[in-house]
Amino acid sequence: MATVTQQLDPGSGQFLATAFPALVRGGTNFPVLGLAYDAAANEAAFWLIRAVNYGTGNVTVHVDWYADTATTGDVVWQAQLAAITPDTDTQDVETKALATLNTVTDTHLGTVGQRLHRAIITVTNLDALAVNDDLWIRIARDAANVADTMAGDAVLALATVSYSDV
Amino acid sequence: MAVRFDLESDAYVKSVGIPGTTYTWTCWFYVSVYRSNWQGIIDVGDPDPSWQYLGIDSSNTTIIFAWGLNPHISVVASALGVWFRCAVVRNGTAVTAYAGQVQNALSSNTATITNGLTPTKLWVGRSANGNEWFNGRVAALKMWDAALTQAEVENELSQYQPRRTTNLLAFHPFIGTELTDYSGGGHHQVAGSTATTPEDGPPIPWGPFRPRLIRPSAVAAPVSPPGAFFPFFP
Repeated sequence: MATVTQQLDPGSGQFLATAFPALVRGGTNFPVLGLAYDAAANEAAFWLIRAVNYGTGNVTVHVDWYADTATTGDVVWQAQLAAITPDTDTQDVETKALATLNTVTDTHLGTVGQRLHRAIITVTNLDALAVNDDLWIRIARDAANVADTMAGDAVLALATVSYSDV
Repeated sequence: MAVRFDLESDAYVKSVGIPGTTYTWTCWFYVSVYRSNWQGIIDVGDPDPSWQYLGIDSSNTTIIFAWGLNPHISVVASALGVWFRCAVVRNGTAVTAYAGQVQNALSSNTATITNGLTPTKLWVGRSANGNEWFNGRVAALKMWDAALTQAEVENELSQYQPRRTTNLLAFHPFIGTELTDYSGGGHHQVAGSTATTPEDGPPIPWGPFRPRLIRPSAVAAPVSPPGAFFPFFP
């Protein structure tokens, strides 16, 4: 058994018509493309992957992020899945619901505001994920959560999804 | 991100990389504040009143396309605080203007330009008439010297990056207040005398999902250069 990891590029994230993070680009010596999640509103981005060779167990979502302006505080990240088995599930794909979300609270480590952090979310609500399912992933900042205390935007620079294979 | 305009002097303009009478431009816009005046969002005409612009009428009810001193055409109802995607396609004298709120289908209307107007500049944030400046945001502006089909227009409005690079004259993502033309043509914008500001942009991705090869991490890396056998390997 090994671990399969898939990258979620911020530049290819999809959004609903409202409550979405802003696409931002910074960087002095190389471009840093990211999704800026607001501190006051719950905003979400979505990706679709195929759960190639998914075997069993929880899914781990890594969120690599940095603060736009803050040097202290906590950020509450959410991850949520929706899995569909093509040719088997009869669920309407356009009305499919997401499974219950999982969260992690990650603390700004200080010293440099825009240092990179990695928040690790263990997703236990798998929506009956099976091998080679089409898997929608929602990553959000739970800005309304009292535990989310960081001021300013939290910028997602990269995310990954990993799981054990068959 | 997007560029916020809120003064006549904020507007960007350029006179290089301007197409002839066959062109397409696409962009996203967001009306922040209504004014008791016409608001030009994108205009390829100059000088006043030789405009060819998409904007908002003076009653703040309608997204319109106006050309010269002719009657304008209505495209779709206006709204505050909502992202719209829009495009103008001109093929000789025939013009089709498209606009629609982010959650709605594109509406369109057509017109015939019979007075010989040709593009001379690209104004962003106002029309050729300086009183008709835009109070809102613009993002993902692209221009071609070709008449794109509606399917191509829809395709281009789905992301910042141009999907069609043939005939591409300008690409201004406006992720921030930069003036750079990323089409490769060097057709950069010139800033106005007052500074614009960056604000949150429309709900579209930068580009498409990139295909990736997936393999278990415990498997040894291939000996051969990855590109030889795995063309999508990052």
